Amino acid sequence: MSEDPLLEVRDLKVHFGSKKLFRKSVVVHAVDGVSFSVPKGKTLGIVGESGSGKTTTALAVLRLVPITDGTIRIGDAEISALEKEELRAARRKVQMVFQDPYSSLDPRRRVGDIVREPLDLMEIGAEADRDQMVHDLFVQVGLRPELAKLFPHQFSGGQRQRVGLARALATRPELIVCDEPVSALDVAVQAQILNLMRKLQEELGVTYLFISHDLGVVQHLCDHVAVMYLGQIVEQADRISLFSNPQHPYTQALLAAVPKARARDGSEKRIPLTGDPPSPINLPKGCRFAGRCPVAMEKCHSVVPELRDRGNGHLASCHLLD
Amino acid sequence: MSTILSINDLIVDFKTRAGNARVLNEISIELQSGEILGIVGESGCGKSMTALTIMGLVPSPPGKISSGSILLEEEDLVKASTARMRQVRGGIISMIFQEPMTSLNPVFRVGDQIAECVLLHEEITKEDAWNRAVEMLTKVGIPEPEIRARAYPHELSGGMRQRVMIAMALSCRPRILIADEPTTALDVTVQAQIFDLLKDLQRETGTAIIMITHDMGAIAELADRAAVMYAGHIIETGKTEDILSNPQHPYTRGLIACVPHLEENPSEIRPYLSEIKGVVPSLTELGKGCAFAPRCPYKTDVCEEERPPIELVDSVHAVACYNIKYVVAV
Ligand SMILES: Nc1ncnc2c1ncn2[C@@H]1O[C@H](COP(=O)(O)OP(=O)(O)OP(=O)(O)O)[C@@H](O)[C@H]1O
Ligand SMILES: Nc1ncnc2c1ncn2[C@@H]1O[C@H](COP(=O)(O)OP(=O)(O)OP(=O)(O)O)[C@@H](O)[C@H]1O
Ligand code: SF4
Ligand code: SF4
Ligand SMILES: [Mg+2]
Ligand SMILES: [Mg+2]
Repeated sequence: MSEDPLLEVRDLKVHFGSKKLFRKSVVVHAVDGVSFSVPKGKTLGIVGESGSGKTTTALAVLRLVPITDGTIRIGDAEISALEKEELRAARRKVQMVFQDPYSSLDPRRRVGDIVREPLDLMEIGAEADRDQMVHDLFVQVGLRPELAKLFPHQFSGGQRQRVGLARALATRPELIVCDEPVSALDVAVQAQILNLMRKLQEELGVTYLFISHDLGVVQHLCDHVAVMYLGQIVEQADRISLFSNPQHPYTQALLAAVPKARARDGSEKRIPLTGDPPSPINLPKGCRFAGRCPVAMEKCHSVVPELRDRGNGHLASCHLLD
Repeated sequence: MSTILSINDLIVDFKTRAGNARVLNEISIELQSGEILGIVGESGCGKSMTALTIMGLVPSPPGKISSGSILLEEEDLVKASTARMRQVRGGIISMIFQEPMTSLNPVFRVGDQIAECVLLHEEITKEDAWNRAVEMLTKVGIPEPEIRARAYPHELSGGMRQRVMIAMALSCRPRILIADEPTTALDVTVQAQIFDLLKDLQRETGTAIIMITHDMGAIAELADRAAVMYAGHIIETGKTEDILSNPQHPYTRGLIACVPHLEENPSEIRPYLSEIKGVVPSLTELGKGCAFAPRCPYKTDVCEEERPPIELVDSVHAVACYNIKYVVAV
């Protein structure tokens, strides 16, 4: 992934303080040393179980959560170091699309105004031209422009997600962070939105950071994939290499858990992955996956495995591979 | 195998501000004892309504069963009294709901809730009921079941809560279990555990399962037979293999083709996903013809005239479409 990165994240840590437990202050290691970069015009997928830190990583890229440590660079701007005016200007380059097309749009505003808002806020284009810009954005995402006068509740889930994309595209961002953008949609609508996202990327060259727990969707859309477990990336590779040659036991278990059309005679046994991920408060000492890993060794419970290149830029952190 | 539940030409209507919505439109389903039947379809097509109707839980008004029968062996549940239906629920047919928090009581320990369920249907002591609860929690794979039985629902993870639901649903040894999207809110890893659990329990106890989902992969993994629903109609039924590898209805074919399936060896070339054009019709505005006609690329004049009946294309595979010949030729 050395070609011209648009987004570069180095050693990102996001820790949340919380004082609930036994009145002692505890720290939630939501994101705990994550590095990746996304080349311009490409898509990086982040996958992992609930609570692994995907959303927190996305929010950090938008500076919507306090960054504990590390750097985030978008183009030439070091987002993680900017304040106020500069941050506001740099943020123009990044937009976000949320999971829930139902709650992410203000129900009291007409969708045309929702799409126009970022144009007004960031003073993009002459005021007189903005109606035309909204019109063009609607066409771009496949909505009839006259629908701009309606309210969100008058739209279907798929249409609302199109409105969300139109709003995200309004500032002509270079990077769009998508947190589970199709998870709430039916498969037929999902296909329409995924095709639209690809078309927009081809036409406009936008870069996507794409979060999803659906591995089929990620395989279809993403050029590179990072697998997160308890706040860290445990494996990262290009799409073909990751899916055809998964190296980390966690990735293997995750792939095996996906239901697929296959023989039901029980001949193919999946790797059993029992239990839930441990909490990001009391982290295990060695490998964070050791408690659930079907092939864990003694060493795994005390020594932290390093994320290393296992050939052709395919990164994985597991003692078995050393 | 014998038929344990048989739904015949069931019609359920809802009064809405926009007019009458026929949410179930002459649906017929047979459930054999000991089988897993999958029901798939897009949001709003009537999957949950089918389940609620079987359980006698259609909110009325605004809903009502307009015609048809639901035969539990010889007994027609449509005609059963409220008291009898209460007996049937939990005793003979139980249900797992999509969101476990809505059906678990937050102020009671989960062990007590399961024991309560057992006590409703069996004459045993409280202590035995509690022991049964712990035994059920063990069976569904909850670690340290004696301790967890004393936990309140909010103290458990989503996957564990769903397992408690399953334990509760099975604690009174039902003959039919209806699972309405039991894993939609869960991670694939936890989903896999729940699926394995359902398969094991089904094999062990011979309970017939109706599995409701919008995920074709889940159907492939679990169901012996599947029924595909569209806008309140059942448009195709058959063995799971037939539905998945030889779908005949244009909607079923579209549904299967638009899913990005996970490949073990993905290719470099990525064609765009195939799309079903348009949107699901409003149930208050269905015409007299095929409900899929406005979106169907194979539509002919007859399709808009009269609703296609569901007919067998071989011994167990049935399809509701006038133009199968042309569809499968493509
Ligand atoms: N504001 C916060 N304060 C304290 N802890 C938080 C906060 N936000 C997130 N966390 C915790 O950080 C961890 C990572 O959460 P995050 O939302 O990033 O996970 P995720 O991978 O997006 O999960 P999901 O798939 O459920 O959306 C979780 O344990 C979560 O409970
Ligand atoms: N109280 C109600 N009044 C009017 N219509 C209703 C009511 N409840 C449900 N419906 C309608 O009945 C139809 C079937 O709903 P149902 O809940 O069975 O869908 P579903 O297939 O389970 O969808 P999902 O996948 O979203 O759960 C929907 O079109 C819905 O709008
Ligand atoms: S380091 Fe050990 S515990 Fe961790 S994934 Fe590898 S084998 Fe499993
Ligand atoms: S009956 Fe006609 S409109 Fe309906 S699915 Fe068949 S070809 Fe299409
Ligand atoms: Mg999240
Ligand atoms: Mg439902």
